[in-house]
Amino acid sequence: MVKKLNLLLLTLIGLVLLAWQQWPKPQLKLVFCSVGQGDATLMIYKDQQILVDGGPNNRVLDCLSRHLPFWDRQLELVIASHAEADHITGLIEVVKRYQIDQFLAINEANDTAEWRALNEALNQRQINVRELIKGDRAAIGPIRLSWLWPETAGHELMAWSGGTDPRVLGAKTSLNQFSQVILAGFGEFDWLLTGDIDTKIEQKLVTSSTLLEVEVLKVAHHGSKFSSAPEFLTAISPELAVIEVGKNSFGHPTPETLGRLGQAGAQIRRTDESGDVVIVSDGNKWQVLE
Amino acid sequence: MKPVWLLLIWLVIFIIRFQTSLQANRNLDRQADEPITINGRISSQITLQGSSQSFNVGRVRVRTNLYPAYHYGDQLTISGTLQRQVINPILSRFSLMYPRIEKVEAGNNIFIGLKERLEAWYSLILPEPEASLMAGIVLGSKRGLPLEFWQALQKTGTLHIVVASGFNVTVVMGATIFLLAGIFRRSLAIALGIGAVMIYSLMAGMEPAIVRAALMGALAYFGQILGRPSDGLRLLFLAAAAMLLVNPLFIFDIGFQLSFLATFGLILICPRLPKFLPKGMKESIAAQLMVWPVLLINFGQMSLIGILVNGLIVSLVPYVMFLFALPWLAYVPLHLIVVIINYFG
Repeated sequence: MVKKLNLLLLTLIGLVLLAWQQWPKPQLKLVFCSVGQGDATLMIYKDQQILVDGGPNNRVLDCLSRHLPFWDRQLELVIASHAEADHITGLIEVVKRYQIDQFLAINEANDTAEWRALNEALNQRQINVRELIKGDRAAIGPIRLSWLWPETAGHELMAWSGGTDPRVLGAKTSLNQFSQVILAGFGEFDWLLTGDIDTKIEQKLVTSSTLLEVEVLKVAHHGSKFSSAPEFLTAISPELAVIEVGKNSFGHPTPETLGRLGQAGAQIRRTDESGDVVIVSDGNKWQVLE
Repeated sequence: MKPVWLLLIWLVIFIIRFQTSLQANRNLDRQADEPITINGRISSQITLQGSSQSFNVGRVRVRTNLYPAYHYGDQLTISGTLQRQVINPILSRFSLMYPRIEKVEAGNNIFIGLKERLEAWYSLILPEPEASLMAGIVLGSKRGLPLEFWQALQKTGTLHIVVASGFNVTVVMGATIFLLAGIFRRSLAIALGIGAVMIYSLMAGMEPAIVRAALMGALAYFGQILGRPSDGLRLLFLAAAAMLLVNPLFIFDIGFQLSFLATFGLILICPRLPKFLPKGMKESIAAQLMVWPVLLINFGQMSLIGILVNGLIVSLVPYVMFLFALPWLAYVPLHLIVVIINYFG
């Protein structure tokens, strides 16, 4: 009996030590998760987190586990930039495993097994899905978010509710052009999340002059040559460009895009080469953790 | 009847069964590289790897996308091109890669349902890979271990803690008997221990590998408490002989070879090792020594680290099993196991 109590005491001490070791620091942590060919971006300030996209598999769970303390099972905000498999597949398990305060998605359904599974998981956990569009703003703790895209709310009914059949896009329309584009900031440090937009949308963003110079850019569409146009890069002049990419048959990231990013004066980091790309900032200075 | 005659009779039945099993395989052989449609129930646990899931339907291994998610016992109609993979001159493995799948009926089995509930509960509370490790140790579930961690387990010779192995069966039985020994008569406690192992096997889907592990594990346990190695050995050979009659192709199964040899080592070598060694270390040495040749032939590696790592974690695994209802506390030993395995892996 005494032996059992000692073991229990030892375990409790271990628990306290691990909590102390994993206690979050009061700084911004921006993580581009290495999840293969797909996007998953995590933003952390103390015990608050925002997750944008979940990648093409369940590796986002490992990324969350690496960067969140073990007792934190709550995500303050989860965003699906658009409903394609390489952005939402990992979110299905995230929804099942974490308590999610807010879930944002564009009001477009996608007739795939992944979309249906995600929608079902959201309904099961009774999480309401909301849509934010161009001009909308939000804040999670000291992290500011403002929406640059999509332009208009899609439909009256949210595609993401149980019951009614979702309206499904025609085969010719790509979901990429509805990708959420989010400008985020923490103090003086700004970064831009672009989903999978192409040069057509980039051009619209440039002409609407909603862009401003940022420190870090999440390169659109895994480094596709149909994204990251020179005018767009000039408008935001990123110091660091992060490409979320893995093994793929599309040739991502393309030499054209890598060349344009270099010409714009951006340093390049790729999740397929560096693993998780982790950036920390105190709101003034920022650095990439090696 | 003399033992020689028994052995001869066994041998004759074994050879006949062996031939018929091979014939069934050859029939499938003829359909290799051709389009086929099969109807059947999922007869194995679902394994998730990266962006795909795989499972067995009869003799055929099926691999498909992560979603829609399938479950043990689902009745499916599957059509695709049968692919053959030669394992050895007389046996091949068959697979269907990303075939067309239609779900006819969802499986429903209360033990599997219970297992999936527990699994989901662990993954609500614990991060990865601790959640999967807990499900692996407590439920013999190998559903969702992260690939890097799986490789680290393989490298350190500790994969047996997450698959339903003889070792885990021993732990289930030992833990139940230990908990109940003070409350009930010893014989009743042992009977309840066997009951616990049966529930464990049912939750793990009664796969052949799990039934085998349950038998071997139970034998290893009794072999040790009987304290007479000769009785333990006799039981071991009897069980192996019976299993080979049920499915003669087990003889090619690496899992079968590993659990037979490890049990053999536990019964025969373990009691002969120097007394000053801790119990966990002795068991680790005895089992690892015996399985080395099989690991060397099949995976081309045999690590000395295996003995050390196994020795370090074998005492933590039963503790995790004890805490099956308290995953919050279990995080500490689980995290310790993860740190040890990642360090050596």
